[in-house]
Amino acid sequence: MSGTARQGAGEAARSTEESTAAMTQTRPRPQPADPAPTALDAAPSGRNAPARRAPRPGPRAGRRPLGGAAGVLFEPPGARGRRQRRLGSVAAAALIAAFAAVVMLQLGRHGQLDWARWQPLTQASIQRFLFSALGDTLLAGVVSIAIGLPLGAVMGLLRLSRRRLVSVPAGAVVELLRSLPLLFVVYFFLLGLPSLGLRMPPFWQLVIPIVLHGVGNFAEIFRAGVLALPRGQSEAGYAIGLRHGQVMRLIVLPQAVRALLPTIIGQAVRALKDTTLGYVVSYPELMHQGNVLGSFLENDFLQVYFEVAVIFIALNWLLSKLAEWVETRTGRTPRPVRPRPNTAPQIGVPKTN
Amino acid sequence: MNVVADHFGEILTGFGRTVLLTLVSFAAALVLGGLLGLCRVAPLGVLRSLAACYVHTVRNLPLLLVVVVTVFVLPQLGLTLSLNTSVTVGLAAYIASYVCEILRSGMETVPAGQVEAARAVGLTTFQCLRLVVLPQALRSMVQPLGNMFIATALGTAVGSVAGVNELSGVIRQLNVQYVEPLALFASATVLYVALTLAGGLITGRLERRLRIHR
Amino acid sequence: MTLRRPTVLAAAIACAAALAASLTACGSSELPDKPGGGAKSGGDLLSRAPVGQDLPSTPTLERIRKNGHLTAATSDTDPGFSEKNPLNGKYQGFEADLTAMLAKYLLGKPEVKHVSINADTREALLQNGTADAVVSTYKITPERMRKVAFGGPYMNLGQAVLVRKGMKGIDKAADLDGRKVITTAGPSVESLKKVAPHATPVIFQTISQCLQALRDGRGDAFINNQAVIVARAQKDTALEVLPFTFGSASYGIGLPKDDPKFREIVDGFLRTVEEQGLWKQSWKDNVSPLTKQPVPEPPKPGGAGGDPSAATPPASTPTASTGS
Repeated sequence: MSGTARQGAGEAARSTEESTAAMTQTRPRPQPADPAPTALDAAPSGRNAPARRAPRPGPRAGRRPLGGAAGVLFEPPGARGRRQRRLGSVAAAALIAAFAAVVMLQLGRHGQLDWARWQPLTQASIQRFLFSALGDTLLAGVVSIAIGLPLGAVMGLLRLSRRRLVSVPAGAVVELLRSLPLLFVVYFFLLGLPSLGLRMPPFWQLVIPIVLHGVGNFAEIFRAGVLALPRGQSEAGYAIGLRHGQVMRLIVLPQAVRALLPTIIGQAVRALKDTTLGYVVSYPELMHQGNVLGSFLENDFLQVYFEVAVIFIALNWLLSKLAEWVETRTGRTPRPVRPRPNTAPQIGVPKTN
Repeated sequence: MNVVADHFGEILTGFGRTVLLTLVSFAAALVLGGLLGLCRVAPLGVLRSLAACYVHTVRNLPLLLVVVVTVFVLPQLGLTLSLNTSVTVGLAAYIASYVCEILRSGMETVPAGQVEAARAVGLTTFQCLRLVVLPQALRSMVQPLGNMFIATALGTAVGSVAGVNELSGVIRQLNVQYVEPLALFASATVLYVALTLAGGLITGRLERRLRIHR
Repeated sequence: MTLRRPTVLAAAIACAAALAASLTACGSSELPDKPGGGAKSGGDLLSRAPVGQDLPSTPTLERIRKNGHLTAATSDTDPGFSEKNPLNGKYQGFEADLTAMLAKYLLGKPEVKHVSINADTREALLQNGTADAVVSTYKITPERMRKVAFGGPYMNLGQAVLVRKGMKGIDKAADLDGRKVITTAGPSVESLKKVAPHATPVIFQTISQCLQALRDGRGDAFINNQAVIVARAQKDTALEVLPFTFGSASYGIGLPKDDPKFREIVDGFLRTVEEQGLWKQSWKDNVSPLTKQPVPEPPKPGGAGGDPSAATPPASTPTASTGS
């Protein structure tokens, strides 16, 4: 039962400053204050086992329960403490269950759980309708990411350029892209550009604003990732005679990308969610088609929204699974190189979608 | 620009509603997100997974969906709140999932030694949280929380599809009536940017004030 | 941030399984046919629809012919007029019929590409050439005539009021003043502002949402066109239609402003379908089943024209030709 909190936590955005602070504390890794392995804190899979930890000193490698103060806030319980916690867990679980029961009861009383209301969703034609909308959402999302990611990487590197003539304008563009509300960029593409004589189909009216917005965020992610990499890496590159571009391409970027994967996936989730702005430009994405279906079914629209919600959650969950799979494929647990908290997308600005 | 001048009062009223909605939603999100954040680091596995489930569910949903579902599902649960309140609840519930993660990662940036030192001088867990961990965590949280404030401000725009007549709702109604999209949307953009800029400035000042010089 | 715990995994698998089950356990019983489903009339109507002869060449017509289809901005969610049927992906309703017949008139075949609209963007879609025509309860107003041209009018339609049973104090449209009135963005709001300037419009995206909001007590009344109001009132005994209509107005086909010859072609098309009885046939199939009223006389097209001053008279007559 305790896996999520422990493992999800390992990816917390952590500023490099703090990592360095942690580095200076030369305490043995299995910290004395670490909770003793109890039923609650059973050691997870072998990947996180102490034996696999990186031998070099430095920030803790791999995933661990909760970093920093959060992990040691509560003392490891004694025998009585364990009993109390078990009691507390049972009580909390009972409360949650009671709450869920009340919710279901109320929904039932209002007839929301009647089979007649859910039955339309079992029809193949209706599912086909929703899933073709899902296809449109995916298409817009994937294309946005496929264009935005490399462009963002380029912009991030330009901003890191040692020539001020390049880095300053690149920085200005990135900051501008990040600060414009996406909804209004979409409206600008719909209403503003045509008056300047530029026409494009709804797909691009939706995708280009998402790309522009994504470029700003991806650029910041890359920049932060590159900056967070230990200086020794690039210095070693220069020492063996590589040029700046080669150092970036061969040494810095591969490491940064691997470490940044979770944040990149977070940004991808956002791009997918941003496609719900498609209703503005008449793009038939999932949320819009959910509205159409809800309207057609007259009184069963809550059921339709439920399915749309499930699809979104499943989709984004699959995305994070994909990230993990890629991580294991690259054969190494991610290094604790993280962007600074204020640029990490999982805590960044979600748009008005 | 005529439309904007003629209906400036209406637009300002809508803007006022946007500001109010932003402030209340953000405050509510801080409270709810704070509670969730505490659950996230609680010693009880049940609470930790509850908070984790909440975060992963809500954060993977589009805001529009969260708000519409809040507006229409709460009455089905026997809770009929006003539309303003419902939209506030939806927005706050959405933002809270982000606030929870900010709080958690903020606490993780505080070195574990701090807690051990606090415990060594005899502070209880909650004293330690209140006097040692949270004040330090707050520093690294100001910037992302500022981002969240901006997100809340922009997020209020979904209120217009759920019957709340805030800034973007007013603008769209005026546009339907007078067909002056560019002038109207430009004025709205100016007001939104003013709001987010104000948020950014406050964040910056807070950050400077909280900064410790080592 | 990833989810890695077994319980969540199990939940997700359960969800996926449920979804898959719902996909396979399909077709057990089809949905009941909706009243006003144009599906049954569509084919017959279309086969009788005329093809325009000797149409003059205009920029818009050339573009339509080059594309091989008419790009029409229509609503997805307007029952009786233009509604997308998720079961077959087809559009049905009175305006959907008109659109298909217009395409056949222009191209010889009823090829339509639908672009769904929201009320903000209709002018923009026409101005930027995304759509060739807007057929979507598009009220003819002087403000719009500065931006777009109107073919038609092709119908006059009044607004009706739906309330929860037992609601007192609303005997005429002006009584809506000062009240919260639920509606969708579009013509209903405009009509409301004219008769009750101090009413607070409470706007939702779809009619289903509006009705649920009315039941939840989010407002005192729900206004929309008569067809929608009457049809929905029959399905919910807790709601009742008030015995008056208001804000009857002329609706036209929105067209690009810079192409007056194309507007004449569309007017000619409307005149033809009205003369051949196709207009009445489609109204009878789609709208009458909802309003439970006889088919009205179609309005004379050509009145709308491109001249802004010509638009006001129909909007200012408060009693509807379609009123009960």
